[in-house]
Amino acid sequence: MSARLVLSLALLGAALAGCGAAPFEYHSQREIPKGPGLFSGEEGVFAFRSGNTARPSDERSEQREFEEWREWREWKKRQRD
Amino acid sequence: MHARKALLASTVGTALMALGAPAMAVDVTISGQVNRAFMAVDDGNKSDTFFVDNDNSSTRVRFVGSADVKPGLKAGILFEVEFQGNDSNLVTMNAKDTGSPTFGERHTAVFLEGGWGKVTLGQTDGAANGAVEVDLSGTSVAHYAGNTDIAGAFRFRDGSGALTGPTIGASSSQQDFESRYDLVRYDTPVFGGFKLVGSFGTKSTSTTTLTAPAGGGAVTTTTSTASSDVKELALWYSGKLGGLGQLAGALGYSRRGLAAGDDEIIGGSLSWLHASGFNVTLGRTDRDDPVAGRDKEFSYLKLGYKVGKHAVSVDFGRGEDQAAAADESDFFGVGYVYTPVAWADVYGLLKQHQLDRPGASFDDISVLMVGTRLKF
Repeated sequence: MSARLVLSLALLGAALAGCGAAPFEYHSQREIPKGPGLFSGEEGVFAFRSGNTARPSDERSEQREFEEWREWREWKKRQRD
Repeated sequence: MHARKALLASTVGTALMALGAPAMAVDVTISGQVNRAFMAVDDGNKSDTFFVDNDNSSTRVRFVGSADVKPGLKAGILFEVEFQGNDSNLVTMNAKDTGSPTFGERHTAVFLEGGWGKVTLGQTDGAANGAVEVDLSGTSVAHYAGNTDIAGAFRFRDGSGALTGPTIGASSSQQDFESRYDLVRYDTPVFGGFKLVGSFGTKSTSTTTLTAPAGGGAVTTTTSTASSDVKELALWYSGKLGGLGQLAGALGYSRRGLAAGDDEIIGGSLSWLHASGFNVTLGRTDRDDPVAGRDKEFSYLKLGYKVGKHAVSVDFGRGEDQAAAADESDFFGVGYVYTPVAWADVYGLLKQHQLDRPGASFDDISVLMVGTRLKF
């Protein structure tokens, strides 16, 4: 039985390699699911990042935060004047 | 064991420092899930209800961290522990409560990854762990080849109602190679959907026995440990077949050195999910068990349908010659999983286990489970 199993799977493997199927990453449903989390939001993980791994969206939000702070500072200055 | 782990950790730490370059980017993520269920079991003589942690996909927390050592080379850690109260595979009619839960080690490993593949050191999955459990049905949280994760500690009762039979776990194990252990593992890069994985390590098996006094009272726990060398090799595949959907599978081999001889397992699984949602999963393992002195077999078939937030499936499995020579232990199940939002699964399972042994008669064991898994 083992020999037949090995042979069958080897033949299947050869057929798959020949037909040019596109690979995908198999993720067992028994592991922690990928995708959004109840508390962790869209990303599904609590992430701590530093260095050049900052995603473009992070960079945009930091830029937006800086611009908002600058606008607030200008507004505050006008209030004083 | 702890000395060996410390040595491994210091070796890898020294190797990482020797690489010299400061980390350019650090990425640390924490994720986890809680999976609790209501379970009812009828063993032909007695029935009872249980509140369990579903061992198909236990309650756990995972930390993953990685950093670029230099362009094209990444180093990282994987740390994952489970925290199960009333494990669904350990409760019995005489032990409804398995005691206060403790953190159980699943993964404590470091890795180096580059274009040449990935090397992992520490406790993590052996190369073939899960090779008989590849499953694209979407119902694995309810039922899969590892049928003994739910109600696996229940014993079959004989014709007189006495608990003289083997447990479900001893009679229809999927024999999924050597699970997790302290190892060094190498994963090749993926070539056309194929990946070859090898691992070598030492496995310590702790056997925990729960004993409940016949007249009631506290459950006592005894644990014994034994270690042995393990080698595993596996070929994994996953690919999209265009209009034909997805196909995934694995073929594995493991060898564990025991005093009585080598404990060898060969087998694999294949799962096909058609674009229509129809899916079929096959699994098979053959084990040469030197302690029992015989070959043990396991076969598995699952048919399912998955559409939108719903997945349903029926399965059939058979363990042969496992608890005793000439034993045939069959199980039949139907499972359903509803995923209302991406972070929640609500599932139900109905399953029946049978044991045929020449010259003996055993009652069937029926299991009902309803539960939910929330990812946080």
